Amino acid sequence: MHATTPDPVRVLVVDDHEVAREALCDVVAATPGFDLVGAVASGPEALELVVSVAAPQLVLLDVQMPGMDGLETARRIDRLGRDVTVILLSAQSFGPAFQRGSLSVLFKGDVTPGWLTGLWARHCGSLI
Amino acid sequence: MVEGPERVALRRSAAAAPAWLTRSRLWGWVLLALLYYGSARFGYAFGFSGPIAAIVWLPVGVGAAFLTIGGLSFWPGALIGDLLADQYTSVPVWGAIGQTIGNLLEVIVIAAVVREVMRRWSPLESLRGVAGVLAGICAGTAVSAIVGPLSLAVSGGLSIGSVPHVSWTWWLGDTCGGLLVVPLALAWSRRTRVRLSPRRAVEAFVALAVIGGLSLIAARGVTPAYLVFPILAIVAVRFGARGATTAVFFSVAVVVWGETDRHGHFSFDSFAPSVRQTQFFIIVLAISSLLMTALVAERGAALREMRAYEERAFSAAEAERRRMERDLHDGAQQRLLALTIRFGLNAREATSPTLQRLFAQTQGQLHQAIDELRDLSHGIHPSVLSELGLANATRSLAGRSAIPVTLVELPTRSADPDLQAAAYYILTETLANAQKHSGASSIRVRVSADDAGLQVVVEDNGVGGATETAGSGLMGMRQRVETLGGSFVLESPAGVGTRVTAVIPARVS
Repeated sequence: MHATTPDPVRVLVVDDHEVAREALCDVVAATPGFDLVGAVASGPEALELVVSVAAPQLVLLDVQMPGMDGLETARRIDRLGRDVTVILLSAQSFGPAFQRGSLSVLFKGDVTPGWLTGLWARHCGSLI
Repeated sequence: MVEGPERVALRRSAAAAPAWLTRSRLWGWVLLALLYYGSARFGYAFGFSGPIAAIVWLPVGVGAAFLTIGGLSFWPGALIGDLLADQYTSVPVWGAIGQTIGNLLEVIVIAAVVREVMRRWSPLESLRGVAGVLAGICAGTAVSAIVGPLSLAVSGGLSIGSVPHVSWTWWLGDTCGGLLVVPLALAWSRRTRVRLSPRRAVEAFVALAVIGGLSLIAARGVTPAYLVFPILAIVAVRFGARGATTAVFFSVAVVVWGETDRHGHFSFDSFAPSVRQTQFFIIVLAISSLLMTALVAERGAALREMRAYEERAFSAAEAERRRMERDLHDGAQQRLLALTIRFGLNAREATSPTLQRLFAQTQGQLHQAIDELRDLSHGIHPSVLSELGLANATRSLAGRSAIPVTLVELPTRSADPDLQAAAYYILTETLANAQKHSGASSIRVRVSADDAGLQVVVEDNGVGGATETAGSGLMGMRQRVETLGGSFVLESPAGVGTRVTAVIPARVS
């Protein structure tokens, strides 16, 4: 392992809508330093992947899904105690209130390679 | 314990008894015989029953009601009661036996008809039911009024010429008894609990006192008897079948008591016009009161049905809105989102400034389309509710308010989607109103959910003075809440602020 080229960030995409899921996958694939380790359509599948060898570090999670929704999936991922960051995505933007509190839901349409690297850099910065 | 010979013998004797002769049936016979005989003696004792006819022949009602509620198989009780009640000293034995057969057929016919009516309709709470009960009573009493006097005439206890006259009086007296007791027993035999609040109890007491007073002065000929009718109508409206039948019974008891008090014992020689008048009065009173009760009950049932229909229609409309919102969300919205994401991805590749500008413009328009679509679907049904739940949706609303909002309480559990949609609607409307009209500096919001339903309270410290006018947002809120069976309270004293309280009850499925 070279210090100059760190391991890519392992990303899992969770969205029940195929078109949106594929688009998100494309963004991850096109972003240098990020590696798509999985794309699934439901909460239970996401939970399985989080504890698998794929071990994603970042989960892009759709809020509204049938059955186990995004909020519940995020709660359960949190309970697994893995080192994983969950970003909740929605088809709509909820305004500033949701970026202040504990709950952060971001607009799906904003996802670009630049957005992804910026977000991860801020996240890693906040960890230091 | 070892079974002794006596025990075995006992068992044999028990086995020898026919299957239909159960202990409860035997006790039923005894009870009916006692009630029948008792009501007959009661009539004789108070002088409103004579050996041949009566102002009110209560045993008809008692017997018919018992057979209707308990079952026709209790008829021997009525037979025993009638044999015991016969006045053998006043009429020939064969005449009395014929009379008893007539009386027995009478209660069986009434009970059979009323039971048949009850299989189809509510006997007191539908007009058809009441008509059936009345028909049963009239038919049964007609049997007795024909068989009884005829058998008395044949046995020499009555002249043939007086048969029509006696039959008529007989029929009137028996019909009065049936009309008084059968509906009363039917109303009180249903296993529903009576819950009278102190206020209702006072109301019932006052109504009975007024009925008693009016009936008494009517019986004494001081005022016309029909004065009691409006009060009985009110009782039918306020207290339903139980109240109406009890009130009629009470009124008739007072009137008959007044009648017998005035004219002495009712017997052969007292087929006075005033007695006839009293009987007509009783029949008209009982029938009008029963019809009134049925009308009130039918009106109540129609209202309940209408409200249930309204609620179903509302629910269906809400479901349809949710479906449309979901279709928009799953279809066009996702496709547009995917397009935007992909577009953003490709925009990086554009090198020429013209291309970059074109990409930027197109991307801007895509965002606009997404926003418009979102607003459209939000207007149909706020998807923030289905995505984040009522508590988070409330937080989102509060975050967007220009006036600072304090969230005093938020629901910790989810509720029925229709209820949540209504609560969210109240919140958006009241917050919008406060921002437009109140001039308030702060708003307090409380939303709570429990088993009983949802409660929304929004209060501001603005200028107050808000009023509900037709077509206003406040009126719209009230209608929406009341359609769901809830309550909406607006308090807006001028200069103090405005408080809106909406309580939306949980659905009982």
